[in-house]
Amino acid sequence: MPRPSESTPLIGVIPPYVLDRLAQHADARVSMPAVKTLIIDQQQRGLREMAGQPPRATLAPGRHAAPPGTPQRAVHDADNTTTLPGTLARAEGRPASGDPAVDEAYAHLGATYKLFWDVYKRHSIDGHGLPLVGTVHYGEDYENAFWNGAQMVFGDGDGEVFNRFTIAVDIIGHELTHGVIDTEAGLLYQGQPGALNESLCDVFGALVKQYALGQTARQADWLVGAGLFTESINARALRSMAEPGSAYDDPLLGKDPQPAHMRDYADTPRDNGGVHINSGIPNRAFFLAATALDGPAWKGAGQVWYDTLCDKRLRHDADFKAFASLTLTVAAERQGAAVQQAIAKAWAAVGVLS
Amino acid sequence: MIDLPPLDLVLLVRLSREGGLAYLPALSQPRSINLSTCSPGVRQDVSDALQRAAPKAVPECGQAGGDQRYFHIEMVMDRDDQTAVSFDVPEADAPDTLVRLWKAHAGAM
Repeated sequence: MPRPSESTPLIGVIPPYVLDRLAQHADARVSMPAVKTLIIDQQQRGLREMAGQPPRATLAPGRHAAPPGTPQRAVHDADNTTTLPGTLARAEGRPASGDPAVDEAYAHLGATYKLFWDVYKRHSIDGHGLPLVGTVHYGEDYENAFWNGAQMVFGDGDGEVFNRFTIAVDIIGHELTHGVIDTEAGLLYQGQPGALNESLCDVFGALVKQYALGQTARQADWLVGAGLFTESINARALRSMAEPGSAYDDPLLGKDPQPAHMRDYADTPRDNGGVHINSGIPNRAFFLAATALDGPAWKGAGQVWYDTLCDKRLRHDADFKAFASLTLTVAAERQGAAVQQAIAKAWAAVGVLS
Repeated sequence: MIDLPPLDLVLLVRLSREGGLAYLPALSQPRSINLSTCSPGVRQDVSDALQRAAPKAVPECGQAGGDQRYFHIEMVMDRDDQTAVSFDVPEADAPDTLVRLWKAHAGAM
């Protein structure tokens, strides 16, 4: 059943026939703005008509799905082109290829599958054994990694600012979690729901890393993407969940813009309304809850975050407060008072709940 | 796909690259090219990039999510910045002329 939404369509305020009349006005000071507005209106209408198409690829059918508990990985090599998926470089069960990017992608896809299966009994991204497909060596000196709705893609980095994007296990966990979110709450990628989307990816990326390393919440570094930057850059990582805003400060990158508290929330049109900026706030809430509870973060706080993500009461346009409130409800229903109190304190500490 | 306005009506072209795994301020600075003062060569580069980007235009790429990057192009048509045509082009579909324009104008504000 579709989840409820409060979205409303945007409509123009000046009827086209009024603009037509203005455009025919003898005075150029009146007619030119109308001509320009009509031009714009025509362009944007054409684009809106295209917007009815699905914005992202659908998940591929799981015809090659493996039995529960077993991943089905396929790592491809784009050979520095942008053609996807590229040539198959390592299929499930095959020995190491000798190419570090291929073998890191294979291992880290496996680590991500392992967290979701071992801890949450989730059989791959869609819960039904969807094959985990990745492509490495995408583009030339390409400095990004992304999930395109059907597979993961990794660039090699430029070697000056960025290393290869397969280097960090939590980045692969982050990208695959985008796929999990797509099949669960489907959080919008804009403003606060977008920042929650990004934060959940950082949370489960961090949990993939901690589970692989066998670390407790208090032993973990809580850095996202450690190792991605070359040594010449003054950066610890892309983001810090423990201390948002402190991950980097370098002339080539600028300063880490993440806030750690709602009083510093960035109201910006950039970055889809600050999805990678304001995610610092829920990131720190998770860090505070997990370290207060101690033990492995994938239990306790991690279980509550996962159950909340999969809870049908989570709307796709949820803001921070709605998500936070639902974590408290879920914690009370399934975890007990101690976990609920730790989570309530964490959300209060970052200014989301009072 | 978008039908471009006549370039003679455009005063300024703003180009930004959005999305990606992180928001890195110094690597995300928008490029701004003033068509009334730029050299004929730059004007031609802008024209070439826009002409090849237009068939790939979509209304809004942001919702694609998943850290996919895209270019946002804005053509400003009057001095008070009130009239503009804008569209997005997914990075995966971006013509090389647009990518070159982005790289060539790093630092231009």
